[in-house]
Amino acid sequence: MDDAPSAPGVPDEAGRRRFLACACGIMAAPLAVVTACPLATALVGTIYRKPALQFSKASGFAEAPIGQPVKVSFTHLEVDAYLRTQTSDSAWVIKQGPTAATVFSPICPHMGCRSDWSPAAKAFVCPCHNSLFSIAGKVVGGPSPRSLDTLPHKIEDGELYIQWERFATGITDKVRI
Amino acid sequence: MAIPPPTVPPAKYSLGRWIETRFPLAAVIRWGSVEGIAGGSRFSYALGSTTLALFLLLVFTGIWQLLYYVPTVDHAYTSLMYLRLQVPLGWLVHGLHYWSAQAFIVVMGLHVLRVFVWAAYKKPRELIWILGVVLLLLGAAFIFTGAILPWDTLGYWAGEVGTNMAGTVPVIGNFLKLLMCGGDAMGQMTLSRAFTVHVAILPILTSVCIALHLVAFRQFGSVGPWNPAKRATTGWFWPDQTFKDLLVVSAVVLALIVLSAFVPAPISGPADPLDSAYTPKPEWNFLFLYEALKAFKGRWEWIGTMVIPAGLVILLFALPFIDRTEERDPFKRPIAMSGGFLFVTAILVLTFIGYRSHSGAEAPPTGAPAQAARMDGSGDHASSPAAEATGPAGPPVKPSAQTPIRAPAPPKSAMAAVAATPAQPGPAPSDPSVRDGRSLFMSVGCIVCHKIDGAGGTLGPDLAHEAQLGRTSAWLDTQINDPVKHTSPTIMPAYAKLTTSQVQDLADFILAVRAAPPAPPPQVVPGSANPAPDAPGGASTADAPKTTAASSAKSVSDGKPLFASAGCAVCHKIAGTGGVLGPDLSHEGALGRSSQWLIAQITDPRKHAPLSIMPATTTLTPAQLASLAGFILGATASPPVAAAGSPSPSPPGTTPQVAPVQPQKGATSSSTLATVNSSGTEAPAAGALAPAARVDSPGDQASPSAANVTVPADPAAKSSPGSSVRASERPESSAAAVAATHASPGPAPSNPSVRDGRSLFMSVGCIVCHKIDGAGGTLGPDLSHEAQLGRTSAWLDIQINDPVKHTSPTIMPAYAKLTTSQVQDLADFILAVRAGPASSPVAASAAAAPPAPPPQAGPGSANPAPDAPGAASTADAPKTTAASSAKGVSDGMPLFTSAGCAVCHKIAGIGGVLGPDLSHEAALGRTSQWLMAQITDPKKHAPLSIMPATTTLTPAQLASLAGFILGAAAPPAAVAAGSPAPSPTLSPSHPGAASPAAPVQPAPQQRGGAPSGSTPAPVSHKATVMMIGDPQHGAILFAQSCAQCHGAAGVGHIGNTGSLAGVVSPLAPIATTLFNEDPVVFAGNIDLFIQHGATPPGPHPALIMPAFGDTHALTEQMIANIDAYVLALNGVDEARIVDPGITPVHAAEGAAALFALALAVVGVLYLRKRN
Repeated sequence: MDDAPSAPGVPDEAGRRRFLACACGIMAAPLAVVTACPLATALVGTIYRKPALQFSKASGFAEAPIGQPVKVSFTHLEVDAYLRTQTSDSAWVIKQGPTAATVFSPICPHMGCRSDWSPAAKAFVCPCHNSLFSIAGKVVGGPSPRSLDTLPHKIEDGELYIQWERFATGITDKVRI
Repeated sequence: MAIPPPTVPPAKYSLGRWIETRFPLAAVIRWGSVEGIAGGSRFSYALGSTTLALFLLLVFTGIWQLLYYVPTVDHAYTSLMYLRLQVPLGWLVHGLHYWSAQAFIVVMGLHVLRVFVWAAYKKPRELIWILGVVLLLLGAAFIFTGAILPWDTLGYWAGEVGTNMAGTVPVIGNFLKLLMCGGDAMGQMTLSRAFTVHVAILPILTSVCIALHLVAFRQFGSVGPWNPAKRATTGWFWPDQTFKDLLVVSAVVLALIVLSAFVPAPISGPADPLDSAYTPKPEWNFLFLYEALKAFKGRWEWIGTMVIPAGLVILLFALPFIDRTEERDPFKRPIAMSGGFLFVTAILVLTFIGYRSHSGAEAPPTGAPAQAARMDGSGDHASSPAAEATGPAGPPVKPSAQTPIRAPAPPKSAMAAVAATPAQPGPAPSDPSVRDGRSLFMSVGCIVCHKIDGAGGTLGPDLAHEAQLGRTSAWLDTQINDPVKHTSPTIMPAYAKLTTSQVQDLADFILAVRAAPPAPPPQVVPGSANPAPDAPGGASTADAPKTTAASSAKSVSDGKPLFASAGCAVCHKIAGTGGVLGPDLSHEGALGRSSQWLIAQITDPRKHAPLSIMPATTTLTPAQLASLAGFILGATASPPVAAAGSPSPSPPGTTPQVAPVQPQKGATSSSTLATVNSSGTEAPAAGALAPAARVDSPGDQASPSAANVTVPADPAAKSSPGSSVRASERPESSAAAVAATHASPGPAPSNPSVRDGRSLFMSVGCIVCHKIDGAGGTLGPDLSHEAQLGRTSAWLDIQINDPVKHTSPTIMPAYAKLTTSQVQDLADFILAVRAGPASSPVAASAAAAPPAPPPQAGPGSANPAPDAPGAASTADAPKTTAASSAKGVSDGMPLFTSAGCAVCHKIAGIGGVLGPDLSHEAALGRTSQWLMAQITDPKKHAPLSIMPATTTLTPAQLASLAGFILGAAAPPAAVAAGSPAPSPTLSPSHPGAASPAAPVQPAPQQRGGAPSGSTPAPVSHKATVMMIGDPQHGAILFAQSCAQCHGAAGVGHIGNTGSLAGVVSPLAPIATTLFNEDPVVFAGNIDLFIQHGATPPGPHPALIMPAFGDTHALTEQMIANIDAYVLALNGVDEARIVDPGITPVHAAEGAAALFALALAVVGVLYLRKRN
């Protein structure tokens, strides 16, 4: 920036200025880094996060009859950044034994209505567009593109724990959303 | 020789040339960098640039926070906590913003000071100075608005204080306050306005002002040294001053990062206007003003809020026009320098004082002003310091005028409620430390559990005698900070977060209190071996026995089985085993009890504590009494402090032959058992129950055995309720006080079955709730008339084994575990008791079922009137007014429980602590009308009351309730002779439910602690936004609302008869099914319970958890704070940084390393250049 020639006897002004300019650059570097670092990290740090999964205890599993679909309810925590909501939800459980069960989401894969078990029809019936699902969840009638979605679950000490998930509707693949 | 200025070389590259032809880039750079500084560059000139750098940092970190922060009252706090805890390096962004803001003010202040000393405000630089003062004010505005944005407690209150201060400006004050608040009260509009001002308006104004300030500055450049000799050389901004600026800025930024890492930006719990536990103070930079305002009260407020600040600002603006001399040498400007020095010193000193001032020192705890609002709106509470309150600590707020509806702290908390009882702990003392301690005693919450000088709770011991007990300040210090060191286990929480000076103040206050001297000793008949004083806290050695060691040892060993067989163990723990209904007797020796005192306590507890529910045991021989006393005293450890000259902590008892003592001459009649008490003289403060005693059969005669043993009279004990250290502890845990004198249910009968039944009646605990033959509790009906009521043995059998079959719901536990023969014995005993005919049928009806009309389902008995406990009182309408009014009042007592009052309100020693203690309503001058209005429409008296309105009681029931509360001796005005058929609408969801009007919620059933139920909860998508609460504050709330069932600090051990577990579940450690290391999940688990309540599994649990959230008994913020506290008890820190990105320590180290590296490189370059 400066190229004034140094006169004899005068201290090397240009050299001094060059040094100082260099030093300014060197001192500015950490300033820039310590300012940019948190800003950048805070900007991108959260975007790759996947939601935490949790198993929620479902009620009524112990008393459920074997082979019969039973609606169990549970409360789970929905977390959306800093928004946390306790919601109650239900699922269809067909108990095969004290340590085995099938858990279906009550949400119909067609368009998201809640399906119901009809003992008369011996099928899960969705009231919106009459999708029918067998006790094994397979489509036996109606417009649903795929069978009933199962939910991850585990059975510990005789209690059923369900992990609430939602899946995209209207498509043949079971895609978690 | 002048150093030539730096030059800007012409653009080298084509891009530069392209820009240069279209934009005066070189000129701009030249303007920015070529600035001559007379006398050369200096570090002291770097302050201005540092201020600018800080402003830029604030802008960037502020904008970045906008990515996460949401300015709504429901999400501001949670979104900010999300940024702090869950965003990588979010803690640093937020921390930098906060600390930069603090540094901004400090550095700007230093800059102003530097400019002042250099006289750089004089002509022609006046405009620069004026712009600078504007920037100073803008900075203050930034801090004020910024503090509100987190919407946490401190910020919220700082906003309240500030807007109230604005409101005191004359003429336009109200308008200003409304403008700032965006309405009549702090709320969403306030937050939005603060946000807009802070994020948009102020930054724009500040940027413009900075630009103007810089341009004006560059017009004339740096003013340079005042000494002409030093002005010879000219330095240049670039690169000399720039380098120095960068060094200073680097140092400051490094300091900010270190601060952010090790001193997190402060945040308190979520804001809750209903929460009275916080006493607000403004931000530190306003403290000087806040402190100065204290000097101006009442009419002169406006001087403090308007005149002084305006004056200061005008002075600053006018400085260049006041000081017009051309002299710049500070040593030659004495007036300016001394004026400046005074100005700065005053502000610093006031700031320091304001920082140190205890919020409660001059103003009462925040509960107090609202008390005036609650009482009956007229502020009639003369004894309360609220009368001259300046509102929440500091800046004047006229509670009645300024804050009629939104008083900062309506009395929702027990703390405020207890402080509202007529007795404040003594008058405000003069010694400031003691006075501070007194305020702290109330604001920190000691008063909730401890009485002192006549006022306070009774969960813990009365602290009015600590000085007399020989406690030292150091002892109290340990007791407050870590009570477990003295007594383990203890339910007293550790107040470890108090500062040393706070603890010192508390200790000073506690030691300064000197209540009336303890009761004079009971006079013993000549012949007794122990004539010495018996005062609690007095020397226990004064009762040094004259017996030999052997005989005393034997008598002590007799005492141990007696402790169980006489029924003591049912209620009292000793050495770890026993019941929890009464106090733990393991420390009687340490408390300075003597054998005499204990014997007196056993034979007539009401001598010591008129409200005691402890049954008097008069059937023991003196030898047995001595053994028992010896055993109890022998169970003690050494006393923690030396009582006056008492070496031996455990006198093993008196001589075996203690002569029966005669009543003291002049004692009031109630001291002898021979006199049936049919007057109210015996029952002083428990007046509420005197009518019950009166109604009780006047035919109850003294049992023959009672005449043998009378107790020493102790008239003084009754007259000074605070006199006995332990007396106030006793009547805390169970049914209402027994006012009658009859102590033991009849003589020992001859029939073995009846005799066994009688023993069982006591040992099993029936006597705790039921009176029989003159002695016992009053929670349940008096069982003296069962035979007359036509009960059969079979009926009693069912009632004992499964009470619900008769009355549903009922709070009587099912004693299903008794053997058939035990039940038979009990029934025999109950039926054998034949007292005189009742003047009115069973008055003390069962607490559960209200007077049930015939159509109500439940009791399936064929006998309409006498069958359902309590129904009798309606069917058998008495004929006389006196009897009817007395009956009306006695109806009130069970109503108090069945209508749910007892869940929140204490009366005569029992009940909840959520609402105020109602034991003193008569003394407060309430009328029956007032009480009935309060019950049916609480908001009429206090618009912010959380008390649910009880509208389902009949006028007669209301009158009974009011009469009971008032303890009226006169018939309540509204009682009709011959009560009409009660309305069938009273239907509490559970006995003791928080509100009779609350719909029955299927609360999560507690099975092993996890929320589940046999019937699934309805699909209710109630959003529970859980905020990260403040565990310190949660501790206070816990002590008020939870500890009575869960034990202090959640330790549990509180009995819950009728539940499977037998005890209320502890919260620390909490059931493993609820525990979760993830604070979000953990808090979510327990939140369900607090929101919706829970019924423990079991046949009929006596204690059921209320639904604090559903009934709005606690606000969401309070629940969040309690959640945080329970988590903290279990070692889970809800506020720990979940995702730091880089941990604070590493970040600080890394930053320091970077700067050090840069410095090192510069140093190396410099050394190379030199050589």
